[in-house]
Amino acid sequence: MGSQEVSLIRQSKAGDIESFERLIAKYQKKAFNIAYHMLGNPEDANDVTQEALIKAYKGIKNFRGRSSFSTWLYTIVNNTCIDFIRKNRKANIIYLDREYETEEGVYKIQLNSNEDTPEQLFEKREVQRLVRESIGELGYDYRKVIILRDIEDFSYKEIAQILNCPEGTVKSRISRARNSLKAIIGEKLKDREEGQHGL
Amino acid sequence: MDCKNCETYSSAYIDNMLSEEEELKFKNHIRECKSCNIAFENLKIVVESTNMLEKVEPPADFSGELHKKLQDAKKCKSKSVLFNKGKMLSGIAATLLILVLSLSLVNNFLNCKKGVEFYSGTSDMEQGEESTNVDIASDNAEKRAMDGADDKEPIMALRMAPEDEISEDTSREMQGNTVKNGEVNSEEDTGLIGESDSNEKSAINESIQNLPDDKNLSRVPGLILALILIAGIAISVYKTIRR
Repeated sequence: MGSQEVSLIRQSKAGDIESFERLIAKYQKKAFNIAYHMLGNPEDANDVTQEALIKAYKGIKNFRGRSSFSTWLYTIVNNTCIDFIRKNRKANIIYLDREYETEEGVYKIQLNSNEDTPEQLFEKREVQRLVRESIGELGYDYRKVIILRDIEDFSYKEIAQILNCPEGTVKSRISRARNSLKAIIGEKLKDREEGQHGL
Repeated sequence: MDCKNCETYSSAYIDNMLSEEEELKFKNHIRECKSCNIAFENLKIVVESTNMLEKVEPPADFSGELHKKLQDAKKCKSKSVLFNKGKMLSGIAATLLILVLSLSLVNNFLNCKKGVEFYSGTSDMEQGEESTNVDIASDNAEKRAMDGADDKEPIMALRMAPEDEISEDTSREMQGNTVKNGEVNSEEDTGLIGESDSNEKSAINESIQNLPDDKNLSRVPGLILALILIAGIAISVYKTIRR
Protein backbone atom coordinates (compact mmCIF):
# COMPACT_ATOMS: atom_id res chain seq x y z
CA MET A 1 0.00 0.00 0.00
CA GLY A 2 1.36 3.38 -0.95
CA SER A 3 1.42 6.24 1.52
CA GLN A 4 -1.24 7.98 -0.55
CA GLU A 5 -3.53 4.99 -0.21
CA VAL A 6 -2.91 4.88 3.53
CA SER A 7 -3.95 8.50 3.92
CA LEU A 8 -6.98 7.97 1.69
CA ILE A 9 -8.00 5.04 3.86
CA ARG A 10 -7.60 7.16 6.97
CA GLN A 11 -9.77 9.92 5.53
CA SER A 12 -12.33 7.39 4.34
CA LYS A 13 -12.50 5.99 7.84
CA ALA A 14 -13.41 9.48 9.00
CA GLY A 15 -16.31 9.34 6.53
CA ASP A 16 -14.89 11.49 3.73
CA ILE A 17 -16.74 10.45 0.57
CA GLU A 18 -14.33 12.09 -1.85
CA SER A 19 -11.34 10.25 -0.41
CA PHE A 20 -13.22 6.99 -0.57
CA GLU A 21 -14.09 7.59 -4.22
CA ARG A 22 -10.47 8.29 -5.02
CA LEU A 23 -9.44 5.21 -3.07
CA ILE A 24 -11.69 2.84 -5.01
CA ALA A 25 -11.25 4.51 -8.41
CA LYS A 26 -8.63 2.09 -9.66
CA TYR A 27 -10.38 -0.98 -8.29
CA GLN A 28 -13.97 -0.45 -9.31
CA LYS A 29 -13.62 -1.70 -12.87
CA LYS A 30 -12.15 -4.95 -11.63
CA ALA A 31 -14.85 -5.16 -9.00
CA PHE A 32 -17.48 -4.65 -11.68
CA ASN A 33 -15.93 -7.33 -13.89
CA ILE A 34 -15.85 -9.87 -11.08
CA ALA A 35 -19.55 -9.26 -10.46
CA TYR A 36 -20.31 -9.28 -14.16
CA HIS A 37 -18.75 -12.69 -14.73
CA MET A 38 -20.28 -14.09 -11.57
CA LEU A 39 -23.79 -12.90 -12.37
CA GLY A 40 -23.70 -12.97 -16.14
CA ASN A 41 -25.39 -9.64 -16.89
CA PRO A 42 -24.42 -5.98 -16.54
CA GLU A 43 -27.59 -4.88 -14.70
CA ASP A 44 -27.12 -7.23 -11.76
CA ALA A 45 -23.38 -6.59 -11.86
CA ASN A 46 -24.06 -2.86 -11.52
CA ASP A 47 -26.40 -3.29 -8.55
CA VAL A 48 -24.16 -5.73 -6.76
CA THR A 49 -20.94 -3.75 -7.32
CA GLN A 50 -22.59 -0.60 -6.02
CA GLU A 51 -23.92 -2.45 -3.01
CA ALA A 52 -20.50 -3.92 -2.33
CA LEU A 53 -18.80 -0.53 -2.55
CA ILE A 54 -21.34 0.99 -0.16
CA LYS A 55 -20.70 -1.89 2.21
CA ALA A 56 -16.99 -1.19 1.92
CA TYR A 57 -17.56 2.49 2.71
CA LYS A 58 -19.65 1.66 5.75
CA GLY A 59 -17.25 -1.03 6.93
CA ILE A 60 -13.91 0.59 6.18
CA LYS A 61 -13.47 1.24 9.92
CA ASN A 62 -13.06 -2.50 10.29
CA PHE A 63 -10.26 -2.65 7.72
CA ARG A 64 -7.14 -3.33 9.78
CA GLY A 65 -4.63 -3.61 6.97
CA ARG A 66 -3.91 -7.28 7.47
CA SER A 67 -4.39 -7.80 3.74
CA SER A 68 -4.06 -5.20 1.03
CA PHE A 69 -7.00 -2.87 0.62
CA SER A 70 -7.79 -4.27 -2.83
CA THR A 71 -8.00 -7.83 -1.50
CA TRP A 72 -10.28 -6.66 1.28
CA LEU A 73 -12.47 -4.85 -1.25
CA TYR A 74 -12.71 -7.83 -3.62
CA THR A 75 -13.64 -10.06 -0.70
CA ILE A 76 -16.65 -7.82 -0.12
CA VAL A 77 -17.50 -7.90 -3.83
CA ASN A 78 -17.30 -11.67 -3.85
CA ASN A 79 -19.43 -12.03 -0.73
CA THR A 80 -22.00 -9.58 -2.04
CA CYS A 81 -22.24 -11.59 -5.26
CA ILE A 82 -22.84 -14.77 -3.27
CA ASP A 83 -25.49 -13.05 -1.13
CA PHE A 84 -27.21 -11.81 -4.27
CA ILE A 85 -27.15 -15.27 -5.83
CA ARG A 86 -28.57 -16.82 -2.65
CA LYS A 87 -31.35 -14.27 -2.53
CA ASN A 88 -32.26 -14.72 -6.17
CA ARG A 89 -31.62 -18.41 -6.31
CA LYS A 90 -33.54 -20.25 -8.93
CA ALA A 91 -34.10 -23.97 -8.87
CA ASN A 92 -31.52 -24.73 -11.52
CA ILE A 93 -28.79 -22.47 -10.29
CA ILE A 94 -26.74 -24.77 -8.06
CA TYR A 95 -24.76 -27.38 -9.76
CA LEU A 96 -21.60 -29.12 -8.92
CA ASP A 97 -20.79 -29.99 -12.42
CA ARG A 98 -24.02 -29.29 -14.16
CA GLU A 99 -27.59 -29.54 -13.22
CA TYR A 100 -30.61 -29.55 -15.44
CA GLU A 101 -34.13 -28.82 -14.54
CA THR A 102 -36.90 -30.87 -16.08
CA GLU A 103 -40.54 -31.37 -15.21
CA GLU A 104 -39.60 -34.31 -13.02
CA GLY A 105 -37.17 -32.20 -11.06
CA VAL A 106 -33.54 -31.38 -11.01
CA TYR A 107 -30.98 -33.89 -12.00
CA LYS A 108 -27.31 -33.65 -12.30
CA ILE A 109 -25.08 -34.64 -15.10
CA GLN A 110 -21.69 -35.57 -13.89
CA LEU A 111 -19.27 -34.46 -16.49
CA ASN A 112 -16.81 -37.22 -16.99
CA SER A 113 -13.37 -36.05 -17.82
CA ASN A 114 -11.49 -37.56 -20.69
CA GLU A 115 -11.13 -41.01 -19.16
CA ASP A 116 -13.56 -42.86 -21.42
CA THR A 117 -13.46 -40.86 -24.59
CA PRO A 118 -10.11 -39.79 -25.93
CA GLU A 119 -9.88 -36.04 -26.26
CA GLN A 120 -9.51 -34.25 -29.50
CA LEU A 121 -7.40 -31.21 -29.72
CA PHE A 122 -9.57 -28.10 -29.44
CA GLU A 123 -9.76 -25.46 -32.05
CA LYS A 124 -8.61 -22.30 -30.32
CA ARG A 125 -10.93 -19.96 -32.20
CA GLU A 126 -13.94 -22.10 -31.35
CA VAL A 127 -12.99 -22.22 -27.69
CA GLN A 128 -12.71 -18.45 -27.55
CA ARG A 129 -16.25 -18.15 -28.82
CA LEU A 130 -17.58 -20.62 -26.28
CA VAL A 131 -15.65 -19.72 -23.16
CA ARG A 132 -17.86 -16.90 -21.87
CA GLU A 133 -21.12 -18.82 -21.96
CA SER A 134 -19.38 -21.90 -20.63
CA ILE A 135 -18.14 -20.03 -17.54
CA GLY A 136 -21.78 -19.17 -16.93
CA GLU A 137 -22.54 -22.87 -16.73
CA LEU A 138 -19.97 -23.58 -14.05
CA GLY A 139 -20.99 -23.95 -10.43
CA TYR A 140 -20.33 -20.82 -8.38
CA ASP A 141 -17.39 -22.19 -6.44
CA TYR A 142 -15.64 -23.00 -9.67
CA ARG A 143 -16.78 -19.84 -11.38
CA LYS A 144 -15.27 -17.75 -8.59
CA VAL A 145 -11.79 -19.18 -8.95
CA ILE A 146 -11.86 -19.05 -12.75
CA ILE A 147 -12.83 -15.38 -12.61
CA LEU A 148 -10.23 -14.51 -10.01
CA ARG A 149 -7.39 -16.54 -11.47
CA ASP A 150 -7.91 -16.61 -15.23
CA ILE A 151 -9.89 -13.45 -15.91
CA GLU A 152 -8.65 -11.07 -13.22
CA ASP A 153 -5.20 -12.60 -12.81
CA PHE A 154 -4.97 -12.78 -9.02
CA SER A 155 -2.25 -14.88 -7.42
CA TYR A 156 -3.09 -18.04 -5.49
CA LYS A 157 -2.26 -16.21 -2.29
CA GLU A 158 -4.58 -13.33 -3.08
CA ILE A 159 -7.38 -15.71 -4.02
CA ALA A 160 -6.88 -17.55 -0.75
CA GLN A 161 -7.28 -14.24 1.08
CA ILE A 162 -10.32 -13.19 -0.92
CA LEU A 163 -12.06 -16.53 -0.48
CA ASN A 164 -10.73 -16.97 3.05
CA CYS A 165 -9.46 -20.49 2.53
CA PRO A 166 -6.07 -22.21 2.47
CA GLU A 167 -3.86 -21.89 -0.59
CA GLY A 168 -3.93 -25.64 -1.07
CA THR A 169 -7.70 -25.53 -1.43
CA VAL A 170 -7.35 -22.76 -3.99
CA LYS A 171 -4.87 -24.80 -5.96
CA SER A 172 -7.02 -27.89 -6.17
CA ARG A 173 -10.18 -25.91 -6.79
CA ILE A 174 -8.58 -24.03 -9.66
CA SER A 175 -7.50 -27.31 -11.17
CA ARG A 176 -10.97 -28.84 -10.87
CA ALA A 177 -12.65 -25.69 -12.11
CA ARG A 178 -10.48 -25.48 -15.19
CA ASN A 179 -11.00 -29.10 -16.04
CA SER A 180 -14.72 -28.72 -15.50
CA LEU A 181 -14.73 -25.74 -17.83
CA LYS A 182 -12.75 -27.71 -20.34
CA ALA A 183 -15.28 -30.53 -20.15
CA ILE A 184 -18.20 -28.14 -20.73
CA ILE A 185 -16.46 -26.63 -23.74
CA GLY A 186 -15.55 -30.09 -25.00
CA GLU A 187 -19.18 -31.12 -24.84
CA LYS A 188 -20.29 -28.03 -26.70
CA LEU A 189 -17.72 -28.63 -29.40
CA LYS A 190 -18.84 -32.23 -29.72
CA ASP A 191 -22.52 -31.23 -29.94
CA ARG A 192 -21.67 -28.75 -32.63
CA GLU A 193 -19.71 -31.29 -34.58
CA GLU A 194 -22.49 -33.83 -34.36
CA GLY A 195 -25.00 -31.18 -35.43
CA GLN A 196 -22.91 -30.42 -38.47
CA HIS A 197 -22.59 -34.09 -39.39
CA GLY A 198 -26.30 -34.58 -38.94
CA LEU A 199 -27.12 -31.97 -41.53
CA MET B 1 3.32 -39.73 -11.59
CA ASP B 2 0.30 -41.14 -13.38
CA CYS B 3 -2.59 -39.93 -15.54
CA LYS B 4 -4.81 -39.50 -12.48
CA ASN B 5 -3.05 -36.53 -10.95
CA CYS B 6 -2.07 -35.14 -14.32
CA GLU B 7 -5.03 -32.74 -14.21
CA THR B 8 -3.77 -31.06 -11.04
CA TYR B 9 -0.25 -30.93 -12.35
CA SER B 10 -1.38 -29.42 -15.66
CA SER B 11 -3.20 -26.63 -13.92
CA ALA B 12 -0.37 -25.89 -11.53
CA TYR B 13 2.13 -26.06 -14.40
CA ILE B 14 0.19 -23.41 -16.33
CA ASP B 15 0.47 -21.13 -13.30
CA ASN B 16 4.10 -21.94 -12.78
CA MET B 17 3.33 -23.38 -9.39
CA LEU B 18 5.24 -26.67 -9.65
CA SER B 19 8.54 -27.31 -7.98
CA GLU B 20 11.47 -28.14 -10.25
CA GLU B 21 11.19 -31.78 -9.44
CA GLU B 22 7.43 -31.87 -10.06
CA GLU B 23 7.83 -30.01 -13.31
CA LEU B 24 10.36 -32.51 -14.57
CA LYS B 25 8.10 -35.43 -13.69
CA PHE B 26 5.14 -33.76 -15.34
CA LYS B 27 7.01 -32.95 -18.55
CA ASN B 28 8.28 -36.50 -18.79
CA HIS B 29 4.81 -37.85 -18.37
CA ILE B 30 3.12 -35.76 -21.03
CA ARG B 31 5.90 -36.55 -23.42
CA GLU B 32 5.14 -40.22 -23.07
CA CYS B 33 1.35 -40.19 -22.56
CA LYS B 34 -0.46 -38.95 -25.63
CA SER B 35 -3.89 -38.64 -24.00
CA CYS B 36 -2.50 -36.56 -21.14
CA ASN B 37 -0.64 -34.43 -23.62
CA ILE B 38 -3.84 -33.58 -25.50
CA ALA B 39 -5.66 -32.98 -22.25
CA PHE B 40 -2.93 -30.59 -21.20
CA GLU B 41 -2.94 -28.76 -24.54
CA ASN B 42 -6.72 -28.37 -24.38
CA LEU B 43 -6.55 -27.07 -20.83
CA LYS B 44 -3.97 -24.55 -21.91
CA ILE B 45 -6.23 -23.38 -24.74
CA VAL B 46 -9.15 -23.00 -22.34
CA VAL B 47 -7.09 -21.01 -19.84
CA GLU B 48 -5.60 -18.81 -22.55
CA SER B 49 -9.04 -18.17 -24.01
CA THR B 50 -10.31 -17.20 -20.56
CA ASN B 51 -7.33 -14.90 -20.12
CA MET B 52 -8.28 -13.18 -23.36
CA LEU B 53 -11.86 -12.44 -22.37
CA GLU B 54 -12.47 -8.76 -22.82
CA LYS B 55 -13.03 -6.59 -19.80
CA VAL B 56 -16.37 -4.86 -19.61
CA GLU B 57 -16.73 -1.22 -18.66
CA PRO B 58 -19.08 -0.27 -15.84
CA PRO B 59 -22.13 1.74 -17.03
CA ALA B 60 -21.52 5.42 -17.77
CA ASP B 61 -23.41 6.70 -14.72
CA PHE B 62 -21.78 4.21 -12.37
CA SER B 63 -19.80 6.78 -10.40
CA GLY B 64 -22.64 9.29 -10.26
CA GLU B 65 -25.04 6.67 -8.93
CA LEU B 66 -22.46 5.53 -6.42
CA HIS B 67 -21.84 9.09 -5.25
CA LYS B 68 -25.52 9.55 -4.42
CA LYS B 69 -25.66 6.26 -2.56
CA LEU B 70 -22.51 7.16 -0.64
CA GLN B 71 -24.08 10.42 0.49
CA ASP B 72 -27.17 8.54 1.65
CA ALA B 73 -24.95 6.06 3.43
CA LYS B 74 -23.09 8.86 5.16
CA LYS B 75 -26.35 10.26 6.51
CA CYS B 76 -27.42 6.84 7.75
CA LYS B 77 -23.97 6.30 9.20
CA SER B 78 -24.07 9.38 11.38
CA LYS B 79 -27.54 8.40 12.51
CA SER B 80 -26.39 4.94 13.43
CA VAL B 81 -23.48 6.38 15.36
CA LEU B 82 -25.96 8.41 17.41
CA PHE B 83 -28.06 5.33 17.81
CA ASN B 84 -25.08 3.41 19.12
CA LYS B 85 -24.22 6.22 21.48
CA GLY B 86 -27.79 6.13 22.75
CA LYS B 87 -27.54 2.41 23.20
CA MET B 88 -24.33 2.79 25.15
CA LEU B 89 -25.81 5.45 27.37
CA SER B 90 -28.88 3.41 28.11
CA GLY B 91 -26.51 0.58 28.98
CA ILE B 92 -24.79 2.85 31.49
CA ALA B 93 -28.15 4.00 32.81
CA ALA B 94 -29.25 0.40 33.24
CA THR B 95 -26.05 -0.47 35.08
CA LEU B 96 -26.51 2.47 37.43
CA LEU B 97 -30.10 1.48 37.98
CA ILE B 98 -29.05 -2.00 38.99
CA LEU B 99 -26.38 -0.56 41.26
CA VAL B 100 -28.89 1.70 42.95
CA LEU B 101 -31.35 -1.13 43.33
CA SER B 102 -28.80 -3.39 44.97
CA LEU B 103 -27.68 -0.54 47.24
CA SER B 104 -31.24 -0.02 48.37
CA LEU B 105 -31.55 -3.68 49.09
CA VAL B 106 -28.44 -3.54 51.25
CA ASN B 107 -29.82 -0.45 52.91
CA ASN B 108 -33.08 -2.13 53.50
CA PHE B 109 -31.27 -4.86 55.31
CA LEU B 110 -29.20 -2.41 57.38
CA ASN B 111 -32.20 -0.27 58.21
CA CYS B 112 -34.12 -3.20 59.54
CA LYS B 113 -31.37 -3.54 62.10
CA LYS B 114 -30.84 0.16 62.77
CA GLY B 115 -34.50 1.06 62.74
CA VAL B 116 -34.92 0.51 66.47
CA GLU B 117 -31.96 2.70 67.42
CA PHE B 118 -33.13 5.62 65.34
CA TYR B 119 -36.64 5.51 66.67
CA SER B 120 -36.38 8.39 69.16
CA GLY B 121 -36.33 12.20 69.40
CA THR B 122 -37.65 13.16 66.00
CA SER B 123 -40.29 15.68 66.97
CA ASP B 124 -38.13 18.76 66.45
CA MET B 125 -36.82 17.34 63.19
CA GLU B 126 -40.26 17.12 61.74
CA GLN B 127 -40.41 20.86 61.45
CA GLY B 128 -37.28 20.86 59.38
CA GLU B 129 -38.77 18.24 57.17
CA GLU B 130 -41.75 20.41 56.47
CA SER B 131 -39.60 23.33 55.47
CA THR B 132 -37.62 21.21 53.02
CA ASN B 133 -40.85 20.03 51.55
CA VAL B 134 -41.84 23.60 50.87
CA ASP B 135 -38.43 24.38 49.43
CA ILE B 136 -38.62 21.54 47.02
CA ALA B 137 -42.14 22.33 46.03
CA SER B 138 -41.12 25.85 45.09
CA ASP B 139 -38.07 24.49 43.31
CA ASN B 140 -40.26 22.26 41.25
CA ALA B 141 -42.57 25.09 40.39
CA GLU B 142 -39.63 27.15 39.23
CA LYS B 143 -38.35 24.41 37.04
CA ARG B 144 -41.72 23.77 35.51
CA ALA B 145 -41.89 27.41 34.60
CA MET B 146 -38.44 27.29 33.01
CA ASP B 147 -38.81 24.12 31.06
CA GLY B 148 -42.37 24.46 29.99
CA ALA B 149 -44.20 21.23 29.44
CA ASP B 150 -41.41 18.73 29.88
CA ASP B 151 -42.37 15.09 30.11
CA LYS B 152 -39.67 14.46 32.63
CA GLU B 153 -41.06 16.89 35.15
CA PRO B 154 -43.72 14.68 36.64
CA ILE B 155 -41.13 12.00 37.18
CA MET B 156 -38.85 14.42 38.94
CA ALA B 157 -41.61 15.76 41.10
CA LEU B 158 -42.65 12.28 41.95
CA ARG B 159 -39.19 11.35 42.95
CA MET B 160 -38.53 14.46 44.98
CA ALA B 161 -41.46 14.10 47.26
CA PRO B 162 -40.46 10.94 49.01
CA GLU B 163 -36.78 11.70 48.95
CA ASP B 164 -37.18 14.25 51.67
CA GLU B 165 -38.35 11.44 53.86
CA ILE B 166 -34.99 9.80 53.66
CA SER B 167 -33.10 9.66 56.90
CA GLU B 168 -29.67 11.21 57.15
CA ASP B 169 -27.31 8.35 56.92
CA THR B 170 -23.95 8.08 55.22
CA SER B 171 -24.89 5.15 53.10
CA ARG B 172 -28.06 6.95 52.15
CA GLU B 173 -26.08 9.91 50.96
CA MET B 174 -24.04 7.64 48.79
CA GLN B 175 -27.18 6.36 47.30
CA GLY B 176 -28.36 9.85 46.64
CA ASN B 177 -25.19 10.55 44.72
CA THR B 178 -25.67 7.47 42.66
CA VAL B 179 -29.15 8.56 41.81
CA LYS B 180 -27.72 11.88 40.80
CA ASN B 181 -25.20 10.23 38.51
CA GLY B 182 -27.88 8.21 36.88
CA GLU B 183 -29.78 11.41 36.45
CA VAL B 184 -26.91 13.15 34.69
CA ASN B 185 -26.45 10.28 32.32
CA SER B 186 -30.03 9.97 31.31
CA GLU B 187 -30.20 13.70 30.91
CA GLU B 188 -27.33 13.63 28.45
CA ASP B 189 -28.97 10.82 26.69
CA THR B 190 -32.22 12.56 26.05
CA GLY B 191 -30.44 15.78 25.33
CA LEU B 192 -32.17 17.73 28.04
CA ILE B 193 -29.13 19.30 29.57
CA GLY B 194 -30.02 22.74 30.69
CA GLU B 195 -29.82 25.13 33.56
CA SER B 196 -32.64 23.36 35.26
CA ASP B 197 -30.37 20.39 35.63
CA SER B 198 -28.06 22.08 38.07
CA ASN B 199 -31.06 23.38 39.94
CA GLU B 200 -32.39 19.90 40.21
CA LYS B 201 -29.11 18.54 41.37
CA SER B 202 -28.65 21.13 44.06
CA ALA B 203 -32.19 20.56 45.11
CA ILE B 204 -31.54 16.87 45.50
CA ASN B 205 -28.32 17.56 47.33
CA GLU B 206 -30.02 19.97 49.64
CA SER B 207 -32.84 17.64 50.31
CA ILE B 208 -30.47 14.84 51.08
CA GLN B 209 -28.36 16.92 53.39
CA ASN B 210 -31.30 18.42 55.25
CA LEU B 211 -33.08 15.17 55.57
CA PRO B 212 -34.24 14.39 59.03
CA ASP B 213 -34.65 10.96 60.49
CA ASP B 214 -37.98 9.40 59.97
CA LYS B 215 -40.16 7.03 61.83
CA ASN B 216 -41.14 5.06 58.78
CA LEU B 217 -37.66 3.86 58.03
CA SER B 218 -38.67 0.45 56.81
CA ARG B 219 -41.07 1.94 54.27
CA VAL B 220 -38.48 4.19 52.63
CA PRO B 221 -36.24 1.78 50.68
CA GLY B 222 -39.21 0.08 49.08
CA LEU B 223 -40.57 3.42 47.97
CA ILE B 224 -37.26 4.54 46.52
CA LEU B 225 -36.91 1.26 44.75
CA ALA B 226 -40.30 1.56 43.16
CA LEU B 227 -39.74 5.17 42.17
CA ILE B 228 -36.36 4.51 40.64
CA LEU B 229 -37.87 1.68 38.67
CA ILE B 230 -40.68 3.89 37.44
CA ALA B 231 -38.22 6.63 36.54
CA GLY B 232 -36.04 4.17 34.65
CA ILE B 233 -38.94 2.75 32.71
CA ALA B 234 -40.25 6.22 31.96
CA ILE B 235 -36.87 7.35 30.66
CA SER B 236 -36.50 4.36 28.38
CA VAL B 237 -40.05 4.76 27.09
CA TYR B 238 -39.37 8.43 26.45
CA LYS B 239 -36.20 7.59 24.55
CA THR B 240 -37.93 4.98 22.44
CA ILE B 241 -40.62 7.45 21.50
CA ARG B 242 -38.07 10.09 20.63
CA ARG B 243 -36.22 7.70 18.37
